[in-house]
Amino acid sequence: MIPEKRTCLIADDSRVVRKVLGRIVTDFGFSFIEAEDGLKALNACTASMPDCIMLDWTMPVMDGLEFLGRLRALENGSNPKVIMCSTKSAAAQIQRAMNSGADEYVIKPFDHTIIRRKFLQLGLLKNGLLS
Amino acid sequence: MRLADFNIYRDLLLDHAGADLQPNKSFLLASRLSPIAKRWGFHNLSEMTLSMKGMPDKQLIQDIVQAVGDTETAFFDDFAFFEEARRDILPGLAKITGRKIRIWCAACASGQEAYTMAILLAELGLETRAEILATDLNEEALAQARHGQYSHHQVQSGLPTRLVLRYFTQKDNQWQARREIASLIRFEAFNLLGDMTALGVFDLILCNNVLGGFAPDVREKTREKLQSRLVAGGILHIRN
Repeated sequence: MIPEKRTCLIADDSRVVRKVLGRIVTDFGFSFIEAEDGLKALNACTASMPDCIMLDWTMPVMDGLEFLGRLRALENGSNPKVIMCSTKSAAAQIQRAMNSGADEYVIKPFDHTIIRRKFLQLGLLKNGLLS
Repeated sequence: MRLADFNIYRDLLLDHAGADLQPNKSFLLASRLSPIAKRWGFHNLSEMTLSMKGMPDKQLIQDIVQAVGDTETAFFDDFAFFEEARRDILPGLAKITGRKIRIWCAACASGQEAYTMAILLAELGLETRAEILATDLNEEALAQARHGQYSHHQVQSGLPTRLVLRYFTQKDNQWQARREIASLIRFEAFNLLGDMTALGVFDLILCNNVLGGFAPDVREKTREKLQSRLVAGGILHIRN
């Protein structure tokens, strides 16, 4: 039996960022779904809980922080690893995101190396090209 | 990377490293190869790939094999090793009594490895029981290491966010290592080709990303010298 691909939800109001992240997680062996705001992301999670979420902070309709609070209150909502991805770079803001239930935080701009290391640290990827 | 190009590298790695690279690693492969293409003066990776179809330089092949087998240089860069250090090596050293645990980062470059060791020690509650000597030949790198200030990109490309917040303070757009970890480390200029005896002996020696650049006989001699600086049962970790 072929194991099902793990899924990553990419929640960001920028189509470009979603596209870039989509390409990166595909290379990591994930399938991905996109959401352009927090509410759409929440609906996606209610329909089917992803394995990980790349989450923007500033989005229309519902921002990343509110999404995070609602997600973690859902049944199985503590399962996905959430990597918050934002231009907000002050230590206090990062701390706030982590306190709100983010597993990791990436300051934009990011690159594939940073995302890869975060996936490694969260156990979403195994180390090494040859493993 | 196109599959035909990927297969060139796949065959090469199979021949030279006995490694079987899966196509889903194509993206990672490209990210490791691009710096080599740049270093070798190719305009881009495609140009290097083209040259691989002819009679590639032996040293270029070696560089490629090494880069693919290698992890990057950054905080927590040697991911598997630091995990092993956290889980087994450092808790083992904690049994030492009556003296400090001595660790030597023998090619510390801009300091990330030394600070990572200090963080691991602090996380294990061993910060008052250990000392780290961090040396490098390059004074400029040493100055940055002593300074202990890193960009967003540098800290987040390796350290978990929790540890960044705990062991660094934000200063302008930089992250400054806290005294709590910086005070464990002594930075000194040192040439690995020189006499090591005055440095004393160590429980753990890390020597990463430097010996690979030495000629084979010098590399072997340096390895022996490092080995001789270990206490009985000490650990030498080398990554070329």
